[in-house]
Amino acid sequence: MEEKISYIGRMLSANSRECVISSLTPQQSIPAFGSMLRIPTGSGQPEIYGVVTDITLEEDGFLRQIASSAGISEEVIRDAQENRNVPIIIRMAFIGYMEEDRVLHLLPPRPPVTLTEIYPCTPGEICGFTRKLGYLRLLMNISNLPAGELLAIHLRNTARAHVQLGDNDWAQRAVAEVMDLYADAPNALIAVLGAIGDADIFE
Amino acid sequence: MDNNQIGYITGGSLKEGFIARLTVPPETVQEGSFVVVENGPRVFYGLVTNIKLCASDPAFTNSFTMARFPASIREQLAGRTLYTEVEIMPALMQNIGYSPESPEYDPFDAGVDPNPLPVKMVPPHHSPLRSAEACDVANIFGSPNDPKHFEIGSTREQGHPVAINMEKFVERSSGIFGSTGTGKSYLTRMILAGLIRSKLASALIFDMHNEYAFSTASVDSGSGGKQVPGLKQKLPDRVKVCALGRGNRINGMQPDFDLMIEYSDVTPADVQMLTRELNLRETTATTLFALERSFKEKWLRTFMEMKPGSEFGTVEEWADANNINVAAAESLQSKLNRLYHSDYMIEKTPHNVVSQIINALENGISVILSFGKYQTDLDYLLVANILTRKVRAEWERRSEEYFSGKGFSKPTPLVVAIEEAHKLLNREMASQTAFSLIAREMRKYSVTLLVIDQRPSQIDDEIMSQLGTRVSGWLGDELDIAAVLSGLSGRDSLRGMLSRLQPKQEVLLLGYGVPMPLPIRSRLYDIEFWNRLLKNDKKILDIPENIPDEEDDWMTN
Repeated sequence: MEEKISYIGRMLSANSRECVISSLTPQQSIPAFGSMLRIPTGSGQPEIYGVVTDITLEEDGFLRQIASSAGISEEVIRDAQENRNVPIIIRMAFIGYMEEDRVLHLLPPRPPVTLTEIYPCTPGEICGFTRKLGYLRLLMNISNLPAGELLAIHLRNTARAHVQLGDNDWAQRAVAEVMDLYADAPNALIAVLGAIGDADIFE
Repeated sequence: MDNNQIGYITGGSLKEGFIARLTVPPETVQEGSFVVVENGPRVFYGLVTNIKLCASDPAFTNSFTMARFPASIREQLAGRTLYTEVEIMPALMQNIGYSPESPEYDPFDAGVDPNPLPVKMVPPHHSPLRSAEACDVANIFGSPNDPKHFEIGSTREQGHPVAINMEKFVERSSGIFGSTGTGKSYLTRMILAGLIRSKLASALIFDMHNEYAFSTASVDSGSGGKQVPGLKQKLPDRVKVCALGRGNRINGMQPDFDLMIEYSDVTPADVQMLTRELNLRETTATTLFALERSFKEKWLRTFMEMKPGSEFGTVEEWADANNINVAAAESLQSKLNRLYHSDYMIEKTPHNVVSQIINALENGISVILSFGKYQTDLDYLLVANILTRKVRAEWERRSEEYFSGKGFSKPTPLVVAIEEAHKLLNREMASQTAFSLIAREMRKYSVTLLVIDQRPSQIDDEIMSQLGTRVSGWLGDELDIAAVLSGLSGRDSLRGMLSRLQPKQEVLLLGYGVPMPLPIRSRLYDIEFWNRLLKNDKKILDIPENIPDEEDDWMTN
């Protein structure tokens, strides 16, 4: 019987702001863009939390052959999609860490060591970490990324977790926090709110 | 947050006033709202002088931008990016000490101010702003239950009663202004009723249009011409009515006495004052003073009895003898005919009515001089000026006696109320009438004016600047507004407030007699007004319980 693993991959590289993860999971099970992950570092080190900011599916020689060949059966394609472990690279931005049961919405003091296991957050962990909203500051400052898209999908996912645990007002508070964070950048705020509006986070 | 809080201070200065951001919808606050800024034990009282809709960025004021968002985001965004700022004209401040619930409460706090003071400092950022409560209004304007205070109206938003200190009101000359139809006459009636009730002064009221003494039909649209009671009917023991001319009834009612004017009462200065009404020439003054020189106080009678021709005792003979142009003298005689033959002019009055009026006034009884059928400006100007001159002279004499130790008591303060005041106090005539002297100098003799007018800009600037308390209804003309505000600080802020008063029932209190300017909703001159006034009166003066109420439901304004 195959051992069920709960972690989604191992860390390949990192700096103070983000890390790169090589995923083990099939394509259908990779964590969603904007979802929260955690890195339990153990041995008294803080547990680092982050958000998926990019996912790259890399090709190998065989996939290239399939893609460039004519007349490949549906069965072969589905087999490649479902059973073949293609290299999946996930980029995760750090949004805080937990130290001695205390949530700190700050960048971690140091990056985790390589090959550390990365886990998806449960609704309870999401709600525990996002109860306060200071981490949104780190999220909106991630560069080379459409901030509105990331915030919108992150708020949508996180709001659902809070609703699941009985907090129906979290989305309102989070949007208010976003408005405050963008107080000096009205055009950026309008763009971000446009994305949040499309995400139907209050549904 | 305090439940009554409506905003918080975000900036400002002593010169330009305080700026506060509202935390309530903009329509909650009006221009002229009486607001209080709290900072620990110190409170600042002020008036909202401007309300401004602001946005953290103009993009958020664009409704198309906002329409892109779902309603929940739109509302939240509007709440955070669109806001209302109010400008506050600080008027007074007071250290009232910490409340007994506060840990910093000190029952022996020596820093507590017994009275509000002019503002000399600014509250810090984020000091809470709230609407004034009844206790704040009473603290600043005085309790309406105090016999020396008269409840003139209420604050516009919360309806807290606002009183004026009648002692201060009569200390200096005052004015009631407002365009026609703004309820000036009713307001004047109420203030006079309050004044008479207070016993702080007696009033001599020149009632040109027979409105103040007895019932008159309301001219307000929708009132159906209902009868509005006069002061004599409601305060019979404190008011005497004097009618001009013999045997005249005022609105069908019998006056207490008739006023006749003796020829010898008329001085050349009185005639000069009527230059416009009698179409007199510039040379008239020379002729008039020659007449007075020749015939002393009997000049009018003697002159008017002169016959035409050139023999002895004719105008020509007198003019020649006194180096006066004959044509000018004859023309003057002709023009004075109108005055000389007025019904109320007489050689010698059987009773000294002026004395009766003075005695009544001295005894705290107010006198209303109703002009009855004599409704021309000539009648009004002449009689008002003559009577005022005599009364003023008497008050001056009594005051001098008192100050020199010959008199027993200081004369009762007297308020001379004049309607259509610009006719007597305009720039051309101000120096010639008895009223201008009262406005300028008679305060020390306990005589002040109550000027009632709809064209304050026509009144002499110096007299306007002497007016202490000013109560003004809506004024449309910029010059009138400027005149009412002349000599007051914060004119720029108050100008807009005055021009934006409701045409009826809203008045702005200004000047010496009120601690700070305040727009108010004036009381209605109705049954309730009199019932409350006379109920209070009964406590003080033992007036019978069964107040006659022959008119019902004549509420008007």
